[in-house]
Amino acid sequence: MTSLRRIQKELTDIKNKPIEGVSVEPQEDNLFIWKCSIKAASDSPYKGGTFHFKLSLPDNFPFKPPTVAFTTKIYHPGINDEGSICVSVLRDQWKPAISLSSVLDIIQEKVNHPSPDDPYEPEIAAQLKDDQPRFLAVAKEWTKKYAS
Amino acid sequence: MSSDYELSDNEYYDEDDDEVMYDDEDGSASEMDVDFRISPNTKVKSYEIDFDSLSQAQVEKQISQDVEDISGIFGVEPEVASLLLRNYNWNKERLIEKYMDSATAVSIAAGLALPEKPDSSSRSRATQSQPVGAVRRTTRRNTNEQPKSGKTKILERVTPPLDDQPFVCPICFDDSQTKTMSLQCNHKFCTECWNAYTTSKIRTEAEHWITCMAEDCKLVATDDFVKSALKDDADVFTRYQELVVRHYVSCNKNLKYCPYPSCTHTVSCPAGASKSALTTIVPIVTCGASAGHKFCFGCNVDADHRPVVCGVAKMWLQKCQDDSETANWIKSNTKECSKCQSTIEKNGGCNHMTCKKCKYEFCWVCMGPWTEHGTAWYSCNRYDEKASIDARDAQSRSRASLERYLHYYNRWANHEQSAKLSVELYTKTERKMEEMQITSDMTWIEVQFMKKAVDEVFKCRMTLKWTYAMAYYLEKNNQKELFEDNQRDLERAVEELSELIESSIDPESALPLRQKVTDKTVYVQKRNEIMLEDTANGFLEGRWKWNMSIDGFDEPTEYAY
Repeated sequence: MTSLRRIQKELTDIKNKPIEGVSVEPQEDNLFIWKCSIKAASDSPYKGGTFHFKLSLPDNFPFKPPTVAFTTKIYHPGINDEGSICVSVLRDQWKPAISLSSVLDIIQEKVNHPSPDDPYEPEIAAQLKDDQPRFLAVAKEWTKKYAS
Repeated sequence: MSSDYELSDNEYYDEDDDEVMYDDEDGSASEMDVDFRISPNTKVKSYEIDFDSLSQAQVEKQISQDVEDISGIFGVEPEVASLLLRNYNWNKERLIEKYMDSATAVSIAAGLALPEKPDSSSRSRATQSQPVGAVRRTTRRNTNEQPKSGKTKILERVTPPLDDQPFVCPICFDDSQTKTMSLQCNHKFCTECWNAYTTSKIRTEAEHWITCMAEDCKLVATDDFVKSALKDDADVFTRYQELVVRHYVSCNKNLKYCPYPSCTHTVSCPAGASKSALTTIVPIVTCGASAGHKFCFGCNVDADHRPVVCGVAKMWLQKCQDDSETANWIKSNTKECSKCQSTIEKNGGCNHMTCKKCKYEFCWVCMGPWTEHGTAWYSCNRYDEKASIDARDAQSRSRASLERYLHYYNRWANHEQSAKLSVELYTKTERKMEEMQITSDMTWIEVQFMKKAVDEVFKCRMTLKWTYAMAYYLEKNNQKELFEDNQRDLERAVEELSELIESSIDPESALPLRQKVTDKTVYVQKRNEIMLEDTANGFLEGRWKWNMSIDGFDEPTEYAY
C-alpha cells in the first residue's frame, strides 16, 4: 500500500516536471517496473545514443533502493557487461526520502559524464585516464553500433 | 566446557567487574585471573588453550560499563555515550582523546549533532568545547523547542504538526497520518514509515546504526528512539540489541561471537587474538551454550583443525578445493596442439598425431610438425633434442608432484569420509550394545565402553585427517620423520580399535572383548594425546619447517616442489 502510493506520487512528479533527456514508462501491468531511457547529452562521449534501462522497485520500496539494469550495451567505466551501474545512492547511501527523480538525475549525470574513478570496469577506466582519444573512439563506435 | 566452568565464571564476574574490564582491555591477565583460569583443570595440555565463555548478558554488562564510563567522563546521556562508542568502534581511549579535542566535531561525525551551516546565527565560540547535550540545542531549526528538563531529548514527537497545513509524510504520501516522529534534525516522517524503515534495517540489513530517512541526513537514532519507532516490537528490538553486542564483540579482538546458528554466546580468548600467535597455537574454543559449539578462534576453515595451525589448514583446504589439481592432471596427462592449442590426451597408438580440431599433424614426442620427420616414420629422430627433454622433465615433475599430493589427499579424505559415517556407526554401535546386554550379563552402564571407543575413534580420525595436511607441507627432515612415526602409531592403534568395534560378539567373547576394547581405547587416547601434544610443542618451539612459504612462518630453505 505504502509502496504503491509512493510510486504513483513519484510518477506524477516526474510527469509534471520531466527530466530533459530522460523518458520514463512504467510497465502496463506492473508499476514496480519502469522502462526508462536516457538520450545522451550533446557534450557527452555518447552523443546521439539512446540508452535503455530497467528500473525495478522492490516490494518494500522506498525502504529498500531500486535496482537499475541497462539493456543497451555501453562502453562506460561505471557500467559493466551485465548492465549494472555503480552508484552509491542505489546501495549504502540509499535513504527512503530520496526521490526517484533525483535517482534518475544521478544516473543521467553518470552516463553523460564517465569518470575514471568508476571502479566497475577497471580497464575502461584506465583507458579513459591514459588514452582518452582511444576511449572516445570506442565509445562513439559502440554508441553507433548499439545505441542509435 | 562443563557447566560448572561457566558457573565459576559468573561468580567471578559478579565479584570483580572492574578487574575484568581492565583485563580484557589491555589483553594481559592479572595474577588472580590466571589462578582462576587454571584451577578447573588439573593439568594444562599444550594443545589446549585458556578461554572464557560469556553469555550475551555478560557482554552487555561489559558494554554498559564502558557506556557508563564515557557517560560519566563526558557528562552525556548513556544513550549518547553508547552511540559515540559505537562510532569509534568501542575504542574508549581514542574517543576520549578526540572528544577532548573537539566535542562538536566528534558529535557531528557520529551523527549526534547537526553540522553547523556557515551562515547559521547559532554558530558561536561557546559551542566549540561544550558537550553534546549543549551542542544539540544550538542547531538551527529547533530554537523554539527548548528542552523541558536538564535531560536533553533527542527524540522529538510532534503530535499533531504545528502548521495549519495537514501533514503529508514525504515517504508514503499518506495525508491521514497524524503521528510523526523525528530526530533532532526535525525531518518529520509518520510513525508507520519509521516503523517499516527501522524494522527493515534491523531485520534484513542487520544494521545497528539507523540514520534519519531524509536524504543526506546523517543523524542517528538512539536506542530509545529505535524502541519507540519499533512500537515496542520486542522481537525486533531484541535483535537490535544483539546486533549492538555483535558489533562490540567484532570490535574487540579478544572476543569472538559463537558462529553456530542462533547462538548468542561470546568467547574471550586473548591468547589466540593476535595473528602472530596463530603460528604457535591452535586456539580451538567452545562456547558455554553447548559442548558441540566448538570453533577455531583464529580462523573459520574448520571447527577443529588440531594439530595443524590455521595458516597450514587454510592452505590445504584451498588446495583441495580449487581446480588447481584438475589443472595438474591435465598438465601431466595431456599436451596442447602447437597450432590451435586444443588440449589433447593421447590414449595409445603411434606418435603421429593429427589434431581433431585443426587437422594439424605433429609428433607427440617432440611436438614438432610431422612433415619435418621426413621418412623417419614412427621413430622420432629429434627425440633427444633439448626442448623435448625439458618438456618431458617438466611433465614428469608435475606427475610426481601430483602423485605426492594424491597420497596425502587420499588419506586425508579417507578419515574425513569415516567421520561422515560416524552417525551410522553410532546407531550400529548402539544396537551392538543392546545385543551385548542380552547375550552377556553386562548392564547398560557396563556396555558404555563401546560408545566411548567410537567417540575416541572419531576424535582420533579428526586428528589424523589434519596430520596428513600437515605432513604434505612439512619439509623432509628428521622432525618430519618423528612426526610421521607418531602419525603411524596413532593410525595403527585407531585402525585396530575400529576393527575391534566392528567385530562380532558372542556370549563367550563379550567379556574379553570389553577388556580389549577398553585397553585399546586408553592406548589410542594416549597416542592421540602424544600426537597433539608433540605437534603443539613443535609449534611453540618453532621445530616445524615447511616446504612452501606459509603465512607467518620463515621462508623455507629450499623449495621441494
